[in-house]
Amino acid sequence: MRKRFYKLFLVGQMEKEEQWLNEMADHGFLVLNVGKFYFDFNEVDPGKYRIKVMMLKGSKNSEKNQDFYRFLEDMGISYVDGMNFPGVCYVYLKMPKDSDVNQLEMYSDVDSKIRYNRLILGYMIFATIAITLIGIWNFYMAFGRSDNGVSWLNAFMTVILAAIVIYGIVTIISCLITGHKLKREKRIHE
Amino acid sequence: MGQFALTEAVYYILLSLQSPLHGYGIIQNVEELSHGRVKLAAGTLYGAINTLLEKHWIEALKEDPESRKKEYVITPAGKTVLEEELQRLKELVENGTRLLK
Repeated sequence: MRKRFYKLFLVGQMEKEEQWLNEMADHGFLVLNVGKFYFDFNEVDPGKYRIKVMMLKGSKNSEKNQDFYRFLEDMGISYVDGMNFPGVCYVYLKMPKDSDVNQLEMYSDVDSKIRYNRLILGYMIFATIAITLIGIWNFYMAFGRSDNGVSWLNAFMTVILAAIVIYGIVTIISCLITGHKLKREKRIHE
Repeated sequence: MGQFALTEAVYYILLSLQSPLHGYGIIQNVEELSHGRVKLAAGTLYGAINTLLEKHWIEALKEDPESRKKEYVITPAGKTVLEEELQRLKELVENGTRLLK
């Protein structure tokens, strides 16, 4: 039986999202489709699957990414669904818990971890700048047109967007710290 | 070629591909060779395989129609790199054995 849950995760909250999807899988709900604000689940035996959420370059349907899914398929990891963002995509993967490749980590060496962190960082910077610009526009629409009075809808949107921008900045800082730690590690270890 | 050290992952992947293996076979083989110490993650292996293919150090064999799994094997160029790396590692080990008290 299918079940739909409404939930919103912001970009950069992949780990939280993955954790939630794994909890759902442990309770017998395996993610099937992913929308912007919802997740569709299929009822399965509890605790049978593991879910991995990761960011990839380009569209979820690009030839390069399709090739990656095929490669994963050989190891018993299958593509569930994906979501496109400008220049990147999120993909949702599942693997049976009893399979031989029972791993949540997709990257095992410092180099590939650095590359992955850089991908997330780049997207977070882009998204935060975009939302800042929309926020400034909303601020102008709310308070900048004195002849029309204050537009409360735009004022409300400005507050929401400002909160998202703060979240974006915090995520960017945490990405930078991770990147810095990895690079320091790389100086002495592989 | 030659002046840079290979990463542990690449070294073990090349070593594994002296006979044809598919992705998961490589992971298993590397884990076995290193007595469980080196566990390649799928994304890292995929990236390494693509780089090695671009460098022509390994090549993809035609898909096995039964299992549909893509297999890879080392090329003569890859083998040369592996031999050079082995020389470098020997030097490291010899110096280590001689000088470490």
